[in-house]
Amino acid sequence: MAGKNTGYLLPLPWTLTLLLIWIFPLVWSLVLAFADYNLLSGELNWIGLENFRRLLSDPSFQRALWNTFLFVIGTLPFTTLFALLLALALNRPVWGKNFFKASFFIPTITSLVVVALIFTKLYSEGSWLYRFLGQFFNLPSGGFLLSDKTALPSIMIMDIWAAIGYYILLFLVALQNVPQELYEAAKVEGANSWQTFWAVTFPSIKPMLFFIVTLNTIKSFQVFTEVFVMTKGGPLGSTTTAVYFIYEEGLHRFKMGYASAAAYLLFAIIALFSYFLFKSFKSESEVLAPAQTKA
Amino acid sequence: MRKAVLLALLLFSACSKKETGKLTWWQFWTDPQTKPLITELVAKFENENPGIKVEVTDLTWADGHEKITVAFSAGQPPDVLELGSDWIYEYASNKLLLDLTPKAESLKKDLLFWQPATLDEKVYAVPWILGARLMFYNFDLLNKAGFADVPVKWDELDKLNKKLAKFRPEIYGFGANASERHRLYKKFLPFLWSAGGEILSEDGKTCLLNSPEGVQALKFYVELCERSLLATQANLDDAFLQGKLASVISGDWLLKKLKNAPPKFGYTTALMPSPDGQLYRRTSFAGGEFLAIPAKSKKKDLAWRFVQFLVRPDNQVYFCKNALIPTPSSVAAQADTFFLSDANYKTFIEQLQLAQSSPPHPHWVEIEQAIEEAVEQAMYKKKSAKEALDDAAAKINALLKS
Repeated sequence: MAGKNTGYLLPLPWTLTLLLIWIFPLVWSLVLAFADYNLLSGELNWIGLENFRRLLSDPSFQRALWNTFLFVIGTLPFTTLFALLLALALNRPVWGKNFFKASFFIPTITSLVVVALIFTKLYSEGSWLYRFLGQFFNLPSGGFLLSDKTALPSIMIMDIWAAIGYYILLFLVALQNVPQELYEAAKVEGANSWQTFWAVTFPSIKPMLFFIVTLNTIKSFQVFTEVFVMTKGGPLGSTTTAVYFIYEEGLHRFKMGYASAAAYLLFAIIALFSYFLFKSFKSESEVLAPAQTKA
Repeated sequence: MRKAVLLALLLFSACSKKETGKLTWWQFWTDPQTKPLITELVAKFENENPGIKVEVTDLTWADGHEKITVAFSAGQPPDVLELGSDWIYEYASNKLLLDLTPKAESLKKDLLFWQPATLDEKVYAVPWILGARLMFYNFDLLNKAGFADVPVKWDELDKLNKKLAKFRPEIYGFGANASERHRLYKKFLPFLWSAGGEILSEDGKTCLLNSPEGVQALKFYVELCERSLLATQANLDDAFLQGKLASVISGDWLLKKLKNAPPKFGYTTALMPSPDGQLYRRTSFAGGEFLAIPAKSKKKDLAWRFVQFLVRPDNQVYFCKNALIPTPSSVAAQADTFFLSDANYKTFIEQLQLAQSSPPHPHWVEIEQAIEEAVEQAMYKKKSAKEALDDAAAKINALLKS
């Protein structure tokens, strides 16, 4: 048994898993992106770039991309900023710190489906939130998720709430790794707290900030579960996001080629965004490099 | 090394070895009240057919469609499959379901509602447990609005809705689905049919959605919705149970909830209203659970034996009685005193006779979406009823030609 080839056998399970579950679908869907493939009948016709051409002129795909873009713009800055502010607050000796840490983190470990179901109730007409806000504003009838103006923002707000705990935790890790002697040095130099933040804290947590922004961007571009549970893309397509569009095309209309092409377009967009994020962070961090040697 | 390969081969061959007498069944009855009944039925079948084992897999309505689709495309479907009535065409038109026409001949007279299972005059599934949508009314609220009896005509329903509108947001006259995919159309179609409208022409080649009847129906539905509680089906059912809704369109699941926990108010079920109140026009939507045998099943005869067993009147009576479902597909089962002794159950059976299901068409999923988009656009005042239906008809006509 213990021949000289046994060594190759050991990584085999993982290699096979990787090939079958990751690489093969990736390649196969790229192949499908250039074909007209019906999942049920198994018919496959090569149509070249036709899928991509049709996608770019498909108003519902444009709408889905626009909605996704709105979602990213509407959640990413707020999630990051609130997470940073709360992490800064929690990094000080505050009363009940652990309680708050746990409270903020609970939404993160709760299943997103459960969160979405709870918020669906909360956003519906007749909930306490609806009644409370209804005293001050003219609210859409049917609750927040049944109006094409408020449905997407409502999902965004929920998403910020649900995602923030994880990023607070990451920021806290970064904050606790800032070298104490830098703070002491700043104190000796007579820096006020604002100056200390910009000269010491911020540069030190910048790699983490970069990580969080990149991760969050990718995650936001792929928003799906919330839409699936709460609105199914409605009303009037106002919450149809890119991934939900892919899901509808692929698993409801069985147009696997079309869905694959959309998936690869989304991949290209995310890659492009990540590339620019990378570039912008890198060029700045070179200037500030000395401050973050230890981080 | 060689030993390991041998071992792997052995394992594989053990997996693929045919086990005679084992049948796989995918089904949707998962709630704790009904699942035990499924288990009992399966045990009974196994007793009647020694040596046969039925392996049950539970699906949910939320993701069952995807799982079935994936199983088909992977060429690994079960032997017997429970399907929602409006899913049959897409699988049948892709030649994935066994043509049951000769086999079903013997069942034709005993069971109702073959239409959704029939495509090009061939039968692809067997009706099992049916379901009709009908009106649920809260008597206390009807009285509050000055109604002695349930509305029969459209304008009576509208009047009820208007009268109760002043009690908003505590009480609503009518509850309407808004923007709920795969549900919204089931709520609009009864109005379309009651007005005398149709989705497709009889030969299935033209869309008739934008006929004057269709426009009349959508106009009325939109008007009705303006003063109604808009919510998802689950929230509407809840609102009715809490006594906040005078009327709502729902199915047997709501009746079951009402029976399990009787509310403080008086309730009743009634046929859908129609524009002029004439009985034959009081059409509603019928759906149901059908049993199909995938064309790739290796045990077609055994599977058919199991399907016959499930639709047998005595088994249907047993299942429906205990699951509190008033609409078995079997004529004999429907005549059981249990269903006839209850006025609400009788309404369901009566409505079923006046109900239609979506027309069988391989592109139904897309047609459905076009209808829902039109209803939404009219409800949200993006287009007039006429414009919305014209656009939908154009879209559907293009689909019919493709």
